[in-house]
Amino acid sequence: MSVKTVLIANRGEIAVRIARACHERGLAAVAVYSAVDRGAPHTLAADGAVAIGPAPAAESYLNVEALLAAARSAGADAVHPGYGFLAESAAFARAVERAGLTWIGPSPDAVATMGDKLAARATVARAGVPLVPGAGVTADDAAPAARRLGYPVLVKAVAGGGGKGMRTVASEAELPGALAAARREAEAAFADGRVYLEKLLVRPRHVEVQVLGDRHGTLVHLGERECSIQRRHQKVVEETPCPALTPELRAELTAAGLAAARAVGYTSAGTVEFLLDADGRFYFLEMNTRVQVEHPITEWVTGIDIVAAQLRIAAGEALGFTQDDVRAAGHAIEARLYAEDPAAGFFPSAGPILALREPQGPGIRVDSGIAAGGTVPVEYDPLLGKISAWGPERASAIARLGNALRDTAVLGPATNLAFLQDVLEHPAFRRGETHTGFLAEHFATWQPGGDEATAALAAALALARPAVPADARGPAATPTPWETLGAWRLGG
Amino acid sequence: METRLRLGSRTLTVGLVAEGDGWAATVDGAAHRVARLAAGPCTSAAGATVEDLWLEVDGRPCRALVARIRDRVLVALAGRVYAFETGEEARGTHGAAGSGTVSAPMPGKVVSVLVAIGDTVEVGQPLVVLEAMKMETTLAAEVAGRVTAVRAVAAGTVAAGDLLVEITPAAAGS
Repeated sequence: MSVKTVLIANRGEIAVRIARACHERGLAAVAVYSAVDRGAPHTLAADGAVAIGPAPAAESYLNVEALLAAARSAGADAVHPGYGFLAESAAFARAVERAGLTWIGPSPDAVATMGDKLAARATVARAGVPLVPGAGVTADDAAPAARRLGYPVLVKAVAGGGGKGMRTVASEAELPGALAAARREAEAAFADGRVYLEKLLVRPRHVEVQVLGDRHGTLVHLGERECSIQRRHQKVVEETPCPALTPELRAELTAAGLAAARAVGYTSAGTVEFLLDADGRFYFLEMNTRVQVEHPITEWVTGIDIVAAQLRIAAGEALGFTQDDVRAAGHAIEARLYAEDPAAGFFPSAGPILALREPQGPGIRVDSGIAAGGTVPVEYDPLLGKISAWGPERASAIARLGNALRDTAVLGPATNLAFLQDVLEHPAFRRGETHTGFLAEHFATWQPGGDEATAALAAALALARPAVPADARGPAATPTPWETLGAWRLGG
Repeated sequence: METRLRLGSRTLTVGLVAEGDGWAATVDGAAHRVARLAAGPCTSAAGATVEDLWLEVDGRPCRALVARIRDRVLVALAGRVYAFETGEEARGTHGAAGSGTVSAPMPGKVVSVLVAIGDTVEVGQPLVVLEAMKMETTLAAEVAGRVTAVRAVAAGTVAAGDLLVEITPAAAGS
């Protein structure tokens, strides 16, 4: 099957990343955009862009009919879903294939099996992969099941991902509220309100295995990533290799990752997530059947372009290398730049990007989905982009990323930029002592701090110069909701 | 020249007196020596005036990216952003100790309303669950007191700044 034109069913930094990968392989890329994303960076990165509907994701980026119509009108012969939105929708994957298009991802059946967390657990358990103790839950049996597992427990969405529909429950009193909230969130995010319980491990690390499989029987792993720095069950900082793995443990973990992938006949790029406890025991968490946000750090250390591999695999090509050819060198670390205020419970922020400066230099990579003059819409995830760095060893990679973050400036929505730098500076992080509760333990009362006096001097000097006259900005526009926002939403 | 800048709940007072090739400056009374090394061009984006400032503060060179929009000045300096407010608000002290007025911080959907008029609430007590940017967030009481108004309606949509719940603070010591 030949692929010449790829429709990218996504937005933001990942859509930019995929468009570039298409161009590098001589393929055309077609972007899609909702009403609030007209002219957004991801539409500029592609060769053409098709409007797919109004701002709410349900009517645009989650609208299967609109996406297929866009693919038809643009003459696309393949669809890359990116991550999030419909990336793990077996129904969308099947609809793409029924429309005669190539789905750039694993088989719809593998997506369906791994997307149903209970089916996934059963499937990988049969393959001998260890599981976190858990239980299927309906409203009636939740309390007894939770008592059997022992508190604390985790409520998770059966169709879940990205921390949505997930709640930690410390005691039986919290259980009904957590179940209700998780069901609502799951229903809203995945149109599937089913939830289940899992035993909450104490201070585990989140370690995941990147796999890559072609349609000719080759399945390899590209090593692991440690992603323990999380808030609201969403990753903030990721690195590879994991500082806690011995070569023996790495061999066991990657073998388990391959076994889980093999259990569903996995092709394309995928990630098998595990929790690793302090005693070196690991448990299958879930498999993400798509390209992962944090894939750049694996690309840094292996030199393998994961998105390019997805394109080649979807076109029916053989991977062209084996496990023995995969070599990891050095250390890579990524920070996710979010429009959110870490000092206010990570509350998301939105609005126009007034000014933007992105870092550069040896060993620095920026995967960005924003531009000065653009807007961060309130409708979607607050991820603005990712900044990653490579170094010959962990300390130099961290230092490089710190430099890069210091050279970054985003004026407009509040961001977590200062927070990220403080995480990298933290002594426990420097020692590699990370676990999924790291931020809650060390950063619960974080405040931005900094050199307020110098900043105030800069502000006063700027105010002493006349502003650019209003007529230099073009025709006066009606105030956007952003401009009428309360003062405290800006900056930070 | 004196400029008052509000940063969070505090107000910083900056004094600038031209002297030699720069300024003799004060920030809240502390003296600094400031020189502008280069004046970057002023540009505008999304209604803001933006400039790159190369400064020397107490002999140390630094570069600040500054955006001005209405009564706000955002300064990016060494990887941190400082959101100052000028104008009338900068002279007040509101917001310092928490407010009984709970409004929507951004557009979203009300998931559930957890209090009713007449309820007595404690600091930190959840009032309203809001969904914004795909995440549920719980808005909690910043003051203890009695709920005197509930405007939030479950499943309703709200705009930024919409009043959700009003709490009349309990008298101190009660």
